[in-house]
Amino acid sequence: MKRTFLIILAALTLFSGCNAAPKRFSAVYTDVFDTVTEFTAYCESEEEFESLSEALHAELLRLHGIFDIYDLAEGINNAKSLNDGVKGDYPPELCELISFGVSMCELSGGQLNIALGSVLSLWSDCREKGVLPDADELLKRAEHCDIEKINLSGGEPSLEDPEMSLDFGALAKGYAAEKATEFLHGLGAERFALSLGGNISVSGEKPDGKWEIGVQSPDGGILTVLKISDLSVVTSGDYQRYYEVGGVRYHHIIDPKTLYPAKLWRSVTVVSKSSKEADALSTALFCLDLDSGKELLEKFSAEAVWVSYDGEVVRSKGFESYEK
Amino acid sequence: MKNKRPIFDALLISAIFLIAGAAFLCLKFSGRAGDRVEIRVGGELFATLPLGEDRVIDVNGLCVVKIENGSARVQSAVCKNQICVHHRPISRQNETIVCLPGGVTVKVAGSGGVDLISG
Amino acid sequence: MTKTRKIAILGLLTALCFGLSYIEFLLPLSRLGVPGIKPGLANLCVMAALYKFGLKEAAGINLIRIILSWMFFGSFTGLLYSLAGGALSLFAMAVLKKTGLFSTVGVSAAAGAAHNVGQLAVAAAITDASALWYYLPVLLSAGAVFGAVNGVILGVILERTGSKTKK
Repeated sequence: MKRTFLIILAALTLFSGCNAAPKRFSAVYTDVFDTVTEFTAYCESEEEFESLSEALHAELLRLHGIFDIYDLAEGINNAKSLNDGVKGDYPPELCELISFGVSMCELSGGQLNIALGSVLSLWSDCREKGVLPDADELLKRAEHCDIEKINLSGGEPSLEDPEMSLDFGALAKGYAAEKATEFLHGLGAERFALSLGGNISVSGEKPDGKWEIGVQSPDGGILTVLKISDLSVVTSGDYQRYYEVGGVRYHHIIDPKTLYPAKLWRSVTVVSKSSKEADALSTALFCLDLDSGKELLEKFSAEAVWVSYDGEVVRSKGFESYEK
Repeated sequence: MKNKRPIFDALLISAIFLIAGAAFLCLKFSGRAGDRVEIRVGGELFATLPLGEDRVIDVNGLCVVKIENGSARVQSAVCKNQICVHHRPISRQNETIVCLPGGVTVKVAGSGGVDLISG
Repeated sequence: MTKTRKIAILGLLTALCFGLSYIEFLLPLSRLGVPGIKPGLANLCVMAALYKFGLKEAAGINLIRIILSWMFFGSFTGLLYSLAGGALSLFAMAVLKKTGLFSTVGVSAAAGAAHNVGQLAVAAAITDASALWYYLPVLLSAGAVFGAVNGVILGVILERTGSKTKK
């Protein structure tokens, strides 16, 4: 009797094991964080993936609304409300992102500054018109970028300088990828990869091994391939968003020291356990020379690869361990 | 007209075809099957997507790219001449569909089968 | 040839040239899925002017045709393509004609190919350069084939109208 039972149990396990062989699914959203988001996951059925993907999409839309500096969000205060000087309750995610931004500003010696919004908005207006910003106007706006003027008192943040505005361009996608990863874990998902416009966060492994992530080369093609699990990869590059005036290319990563696009590297890619740190670090390193960059990296458990204007590729000490 | 020798004409036209043929072979030679498409708008990278997964993607309202059965094509475009829409689906590396009025290029690339690209 | 007669003929050629451009514009060539392929009928008039009169007159007719086409049914980028294609093709036909080695067939074939190369070069400058090499073989061949056919037609026209009008 016992033996029969065991055989049936074994057969059932085998059967369900076969049935449960996870399949690969993928979805793309183009309406969050002004970029293309790609979600790939291993699920047992299409229905399971669909419900996962729908929930993820809704969560990303929610986060997008909170960090949006261009449009107000319905029913809640968001980043634009804060920049507009609206008083009141703010979602905890925004407060958390601000305090993360403030601590990153400290750790990077001011290199990463979420209070740079007024300078960045001038650049983005000029990018749309295809002209260069007025140097005096840039300097004038730079006077309203003091991160100390952010007031973070219990759920009701405010800006002491009304002409100041916050911009989360260097953090929001990484932070959202981290939140989304936690969200998906909460729903029971284990094996997935999420790319918010190249901000990549992978979880677990594929059935046949680690996730393989290509690092974009600034001139097109793949610079290197990383084999990773439970890690994030973020790249900042001068080719991602730019415009040209008089044959000179002006990209979107503005160095707070000079108020102009950083001219040190073509791209910097950071690998880290934390997606928000990877995002913040890649932007900070993009504006720092190699030694300062390495120094900053050592404060975090992160690795990086730099591509210089001569096409030289520099790796941090532990970067190679991720490469194929 | 009589003093022109047709042999020169023939040589000239053959030379043009020879150049065209050489260029074709060059492209064919590098024409391995690709696995990703790079969509660019005015030279800026818009998205890099796998060819292996079917989907439809709207490129900033300029055109709609459809990825299906391992190849990509432009399903619709706002431009007047619709050349890109009539282009056959592409699937080999470096094959490209260009929508000139919108400044959109859709190019097949190889990536050695990686899952995602950070960039 | 009197000056009046010359002006009248050039005017006719220009009008014909523009008319042929319009016919080309109406052809459903976009169905081929390759940008820039067209028979180049308008080029016939430009070549006729080159053979009958000279480079200056041919260039004039070409320029007027390009600007008219742009005003009537083109876009600004279209104007850039046409200018580049027109200039390169005129250059090719003038040089090849000067060598005295080729008949209208060879000259026209080269002009057609050159026209397409010129357009491709502008397109490559505007968009992703590497991407457009893909179109080079087909555009070169198409330019040469259509050009050669035009060359045959032009040969017949020149023979019937007497090619030695101008010395």
